[in-house]
Amino acid sequence: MPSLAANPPIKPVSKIAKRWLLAATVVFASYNPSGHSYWHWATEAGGSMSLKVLVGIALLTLLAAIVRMAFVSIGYAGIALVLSLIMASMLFRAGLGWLVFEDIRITQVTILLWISTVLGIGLSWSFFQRRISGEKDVVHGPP
Amino acid sequence: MLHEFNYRSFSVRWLGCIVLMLATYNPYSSSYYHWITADSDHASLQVLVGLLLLIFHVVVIVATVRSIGVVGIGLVTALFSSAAWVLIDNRVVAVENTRAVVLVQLIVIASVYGVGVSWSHIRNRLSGQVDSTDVAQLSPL
Repeated sequence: MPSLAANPPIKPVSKIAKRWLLAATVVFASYNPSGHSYWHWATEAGGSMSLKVLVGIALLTLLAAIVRMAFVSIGYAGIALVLSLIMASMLFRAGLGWLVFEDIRITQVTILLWISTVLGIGLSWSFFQRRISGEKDVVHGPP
Repeated sequence: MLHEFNYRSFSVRWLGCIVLMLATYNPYSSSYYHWITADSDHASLQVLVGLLLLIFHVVVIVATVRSIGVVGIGLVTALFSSAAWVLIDNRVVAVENTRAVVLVQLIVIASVYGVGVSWSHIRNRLSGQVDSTDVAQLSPL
């Protein structure tokens, strides 16, 4: 029987990678600039209305669940920190000369990747919190 | 080895909720409702079974409200209702067939039950967060 204080080791890379992949799948399935996304399918004429509504509600439910879990885990401060870490890594790479600062283009894909990263890290953060400090993130009922 | 919540755990809960719902009422004259309305000889057994069903319903509803709340119930109901709409749109379920429509509605409610009792497990597995309720508040939900 696992005790309440059980603190098993976690695999950080696979933990984040799986959750990042889940968040990115939902975000990019909802909208992406390539023209093959739920947004494009839903706004084009024709097709099955009921299927569009079903997929739309499914994506909305998934997004709501993921955003809520990520947000209660890291909060505004966490979102700001993850975003500033991303900015800092871009500056760092520019500083190392891996990429030229003038060449950095912030496209829609970049923004979507940032959103996925924030959500992916938010989804995994509670595991890290528990592993590092033994503090469990507890949710006191839904809103 | 710790037991993790997996597809099988979810399927068991979901099927259990569907069985509970259809045992309480189904449109094919073989449910608890039809039993108590047609048979008047086994009152004691009917009360016992009725209370058991009631307890299961209360446990599942309380778990659902605690786990996904009003917003979650709304979203999940909309999700499964639109799935039913897809079935009706594609002539899998005939709208003229009242029994089939009632059955689909019962399965929609049972699916909300199923997601409600599973969501706290899914949330814990997915994000490591623990759902908790302050039972000392003596709130009914």
